[in-house]
Amino acid sequence: MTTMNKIRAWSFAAFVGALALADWQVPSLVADGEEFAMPKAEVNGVKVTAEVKDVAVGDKVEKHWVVTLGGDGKGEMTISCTSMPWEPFSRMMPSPKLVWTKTLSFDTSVSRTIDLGIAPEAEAKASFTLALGKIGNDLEDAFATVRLAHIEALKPKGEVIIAEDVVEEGTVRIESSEAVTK
Amino acid sequence: MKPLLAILQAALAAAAVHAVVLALRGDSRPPAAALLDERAGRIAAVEVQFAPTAEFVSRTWIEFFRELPAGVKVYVAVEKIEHFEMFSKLTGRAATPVVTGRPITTWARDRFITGAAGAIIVPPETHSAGPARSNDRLVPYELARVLGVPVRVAPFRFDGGDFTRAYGRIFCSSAWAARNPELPLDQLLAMAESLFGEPVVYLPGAPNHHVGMIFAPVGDNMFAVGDVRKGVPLAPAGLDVDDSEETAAKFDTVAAAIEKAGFKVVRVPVVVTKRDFVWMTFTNGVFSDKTVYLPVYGEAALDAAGIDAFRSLGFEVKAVNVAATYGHGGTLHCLVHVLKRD
Repeated sequence: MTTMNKIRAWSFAAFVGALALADWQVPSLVADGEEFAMPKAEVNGVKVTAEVKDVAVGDKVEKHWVVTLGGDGKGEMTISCTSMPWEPFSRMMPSPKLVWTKTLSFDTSVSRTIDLGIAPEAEAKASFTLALGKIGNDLEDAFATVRLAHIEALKPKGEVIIAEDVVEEGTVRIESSEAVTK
Repeated sequence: MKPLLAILQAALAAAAVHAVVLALRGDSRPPAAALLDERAGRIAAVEVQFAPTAEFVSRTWIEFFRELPAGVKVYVAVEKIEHFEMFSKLTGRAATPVVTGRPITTWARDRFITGAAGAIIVPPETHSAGPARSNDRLVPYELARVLGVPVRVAPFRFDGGDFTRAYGRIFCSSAWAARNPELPLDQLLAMAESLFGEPVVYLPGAPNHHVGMIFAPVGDNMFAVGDVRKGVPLAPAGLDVDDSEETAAKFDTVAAAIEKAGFKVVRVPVVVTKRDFVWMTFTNGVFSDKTVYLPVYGEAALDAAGIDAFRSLGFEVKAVNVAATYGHGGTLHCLVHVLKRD
């Protein structure tokens, strides 16, 4: 073996060795991928979303929160509504109030929508958030915190409104759901 | 063609050997800590938010950046590039702009937390109050774009100051839990442990403020915890001091809970006022191993007590005046977001 071939052979071996011993973990910017609670739109195959819809009630049209289910399954879920006070001068994020928590039965073979009744009206003093707490039963039990819908407080005159696309990205209005399963 | 074949052969050989190495090595890596430690490790990068309207921070910026080593990378979130130029002129500091395009506040710690591996973690809902405060939620997204890191959404509401990571644990208080009234506490804590990958130490009955205003890790499994009774005699004359036993007891409750969790506690002065969130505290500093950028208030006796407390704990103290800042409900730690430590 010529000197040049020796150099080539050793270089090749060193290259293979370095690659083999290297930490091949793709640089992870979160804690070990799956360990990190990732936003998910689906929980055990059932996709849960909610939005404010016009619902005819007798002669009137009311604005209701309506939950829509995708996928197939049946069981129970808890959904809560919280009210966030409007405290523009507070140094800290204020503590929201729990308005209600409902436990709802669902069976997607029967209906894919659940009417939660009249949605609170946005007002200057508070915003409202609808969140999925737990979904389970004959589905595998799972926790999820999905911001299903968010009704922003009315903005004072002249206030800057964040562009809708940024709001979507910024997870404030999350009809597409920002869920985390444990 | 030959070189390509050689590379391919090398890659295949490496993959095979790598599989053997992995099998032999096993999964011995310690679990990653999702949150950046509060004290351990020298600061390598920070982010601040500069808003010209927040003139009350000017002196604090000048003094902080005068002390911060030149090698520390600085990111400055601003509404527009002209504001970045104002920041540069004020501090003389080389930095990287993060332009939001909308008015923001100066509170860099509130709207996100930073993972040990760089991830930016945001709450699913933010403090929607006033235009600048609302727009603060844009900062983590724009910063993530500049840094090339992902933004992750936590399953619960939080302010950035609600968590402190130290000694392999995450510390949080009843102030954080109160932001999530729809979640039972055990579920909330389970979510936090899942998110951060480390045990969570929950501190009930705590004063209503960010945890850094109440305590700070100082090394050697020890925390400095504010003590109202030590602060009251040192408070400036005429200040609307909250010297109630009720408030003092809340700090004692935190100190006791930390001790119960197996850590040592040393008490340091804190002056709480009757205004919401307006405190003169020494635990709200920025830590870089055994150096602390310590908030001081231009009150000789009080400042000396705070400085002495941290020097006696072995810290090199770099005092930063926050006299004009604390009245707005926060001090140095609320203004400086540490992004990376070495």
